[in-house]
Amino acid sequence: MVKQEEKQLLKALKKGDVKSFEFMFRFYYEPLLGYAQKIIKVEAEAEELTQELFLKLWRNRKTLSIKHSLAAYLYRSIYNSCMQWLKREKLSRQYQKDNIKQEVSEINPDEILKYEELNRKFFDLMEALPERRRLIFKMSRFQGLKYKEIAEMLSISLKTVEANMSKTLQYLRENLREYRIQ
Amino acid sequence: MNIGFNEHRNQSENIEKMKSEKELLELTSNMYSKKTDLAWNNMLAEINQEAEGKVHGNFIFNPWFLKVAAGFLVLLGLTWGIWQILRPQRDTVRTLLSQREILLPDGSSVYLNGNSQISYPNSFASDSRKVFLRGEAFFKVKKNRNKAFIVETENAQIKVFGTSFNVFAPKGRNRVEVMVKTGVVGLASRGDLNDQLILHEGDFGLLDAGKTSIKSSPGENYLSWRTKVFRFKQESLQQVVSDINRAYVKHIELATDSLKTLQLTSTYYKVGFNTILESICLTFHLQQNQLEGKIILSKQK
Repeated sequence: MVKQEEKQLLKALKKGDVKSFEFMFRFYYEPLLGYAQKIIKVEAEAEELTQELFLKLWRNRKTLSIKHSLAAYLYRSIYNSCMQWLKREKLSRQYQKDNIKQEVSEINPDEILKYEELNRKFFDLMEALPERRRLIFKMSRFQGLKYKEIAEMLSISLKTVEANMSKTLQYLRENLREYRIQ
Repeated sequence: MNIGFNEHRNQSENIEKMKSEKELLELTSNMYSKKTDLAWNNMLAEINQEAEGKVHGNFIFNPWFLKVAAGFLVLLGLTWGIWQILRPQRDTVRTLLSQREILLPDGSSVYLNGNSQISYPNSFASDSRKVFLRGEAFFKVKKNRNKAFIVETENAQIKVFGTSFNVFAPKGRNRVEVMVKTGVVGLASRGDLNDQLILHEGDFGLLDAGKTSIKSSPGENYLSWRTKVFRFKQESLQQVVSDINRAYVKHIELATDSLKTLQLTSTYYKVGFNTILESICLTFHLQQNQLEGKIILSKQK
């Protein structure tokens, strides 16, 4: 996300703000989980590793120091714990060397950077939205409110919310069209 | 051959477009998916557990320890069961001449005015959080989208999911006032729960003789009973006295009707009752007389 927002989130996390932690969790959980699953291919274990990562993040919130980006930090951490788990699995039961080599080559550190860039572009585009549209989008995607609830809270019609959201999504799609993730 | 090549190139471009669109939509659309919700609930439970000082260790899986622990747990269970049956299931807090802040089992807080009463269970039911109010209180309800927070008064039912609002439901009168500070509040008559009035931030709702309606804002000192911040602008002394009485749980009376229409312009920022009383008396040359718990104000001779 935008450097500014990320800094604020990390600051709040340091102070033990659960809401900020929840935002981080919800934003990165599924992407990280998917990433872990690509590496270790065991869904249940990938879930546990991802959860452990966030728990560690919470436990060490006071002494945390993230130099570059939160996304890079998280992706690198999950990559490391996946690798550790794979090593342990290799020791406890038979695991073909070829398999590990294959998976290591699949994990491209550039993938992390590309995700991060898309991330940043996305947030930049969001900031450029007119205030009202940005608010509605945030309420829908970041607060998980249903369109009906948003309409009620802002005293506007459901159709207005739907129209706003579709315009916003179209705008985002168009502006990220040239952005390719390999 | 050329046509085939272009088609092929368009196709792979389309696939690339779809990939990045999918990635984009995924960026935020899974923040509130069922998977993430479940995972977050787990995480939250873990965090709270750690905060309460529970420690997990390998020791607890020792078989000898488990046998002893099992026996101990049975004993504990019995004791707890008996204790639960014997102790009261509900708490009722009553105020007379003072105001009081109460913490509810879900972390919500209630600021109770004088001459009021609130009743609530020791732990909330699984599907809703219900309390019973008589008098006046300001609620700060912790957000829980799965468990409605319901305030029942003699005549009204007020329903929210996570907001802060004021309820005035005096005993014996078929009138309930609800002022919403943040969030969304539902107000209904207990005799007609389906006819729910939705109130938003800043709205002032009224239930009068079974009918709900939104009224214009009742003036900026409506919540002053709790904040102790008053801004009177050419306010009638009658209204001023009424507001002060409500905020400090006192009973000031004006001796003559002519005093009621006097106008006061003054701001009181979190000062004590006596300070305000003296200020008023000084401004209008009034004297105080105590009589049967009341403070009577009259013109100085």
